[in-house]
Amino acid sequence: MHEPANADRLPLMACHECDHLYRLPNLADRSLARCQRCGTILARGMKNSLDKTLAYTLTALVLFMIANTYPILGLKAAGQEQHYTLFSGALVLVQYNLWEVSVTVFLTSILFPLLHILGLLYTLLPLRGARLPRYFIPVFKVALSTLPWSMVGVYMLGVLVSIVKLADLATVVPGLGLYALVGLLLASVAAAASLDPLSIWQLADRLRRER
Amino acid sequence: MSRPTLTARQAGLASCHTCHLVVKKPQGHDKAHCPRCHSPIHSRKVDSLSRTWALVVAAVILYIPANLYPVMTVSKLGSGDPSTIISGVMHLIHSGMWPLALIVFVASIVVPVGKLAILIYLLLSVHYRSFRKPKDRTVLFRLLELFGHWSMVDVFLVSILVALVDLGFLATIEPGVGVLYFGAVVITTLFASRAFDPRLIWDVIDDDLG
Ligand SMILES: [Zn+2]
Ligand SMILES: [Zn+2]
Repeated sequence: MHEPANADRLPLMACHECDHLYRLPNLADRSLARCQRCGTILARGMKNSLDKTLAYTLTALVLFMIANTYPILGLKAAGQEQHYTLFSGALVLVQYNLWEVSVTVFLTSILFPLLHILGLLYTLLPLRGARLPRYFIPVFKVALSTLPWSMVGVYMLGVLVSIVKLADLATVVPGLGLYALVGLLLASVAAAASLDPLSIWQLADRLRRER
Repeated sequence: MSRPTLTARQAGLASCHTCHLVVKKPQGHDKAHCPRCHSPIHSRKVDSLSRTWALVVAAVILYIPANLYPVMTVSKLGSGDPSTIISGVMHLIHSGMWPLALIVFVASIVVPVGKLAILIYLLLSVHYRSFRKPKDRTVLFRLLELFGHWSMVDVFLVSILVALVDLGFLATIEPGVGVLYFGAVVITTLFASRAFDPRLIWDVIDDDLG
């Protein structure tokens, strides 16, 4: 990254992995600013970041609801048939006195992804109409801090492995919930890639000042 | 760039952990809050090294029962077959599903062991004020953040199998206490890598340059 001419008016930014100070230039669409000494991504330039994030997050909400309503997998063997949902998968370990594991599965596969989606919608929908919602700061912080603990992708890998493990035991039938879960994963990845927290904080700051 | 390296700390500034706003560094025991997002401002993560060490030691200890105790027992027609994390990976390799076996091998064995090894190396390198390849060490830290949570796959797998498989006399799957220890290892190492402050790697070098 090089210093632009009108550097004094640009916001200061410190690399969060090596603390090097920069003046952050306005970035072109699809461009990255990297720290020149440690390589960390400092900021991303993105057109329509807010609209894209909202579209993907709304899609994610719909898919989240489907994934939580319908069975993920079904099992057929010797005339018996059974299935499980995301919620029953999280809950089952309580019966075996492993409630700590149950809570962990529930938080990382259901509650944190939901809080992330709802937090983004609650804060970004009004911002798009140039309005600052009440409790913007705590809600947006919840939306940001639940992202690293939302593990839909890892859960998906767990489903794949279980299908392989069960192949010699019974016939595994994918449920509607599984397809929704795949869609949810794709929508979440797209939403996370288009979210630009820095520009959201700046926008919220500007709206607060104008109020 | 020709001018000498200038960090936020050297300039008397600090950046907010949450929204990355650069503000004046709090002096002494002042409790400063970010004007933009109200988060507490610290120039460096508080007690980073001692917190990271504590969590790493806890994870290493928990890793032993996590691999000794079975994570689940598969019962077919009455006879039980307990499996640990390692035997689960072996089973997948023998089933011939190579790509999946490789991913699970990485997620359930390479990632937890590698994470602890990297964290110990980073902690020692900061402790002994190493000058070696700070950029590469920062990249190692970034890898921790990127791949750390993939070990959760074993915990999810057990919960899925137990919830799904209850075929009466034909087959049942019961969880073992190993999954509790393994889950604890994953969560503890996730907190450990969040407790480590990669800027400490660079502070040694910046202090020396003045
Ligand atoms: Zn840097
Ligand atoms: Zn802040």
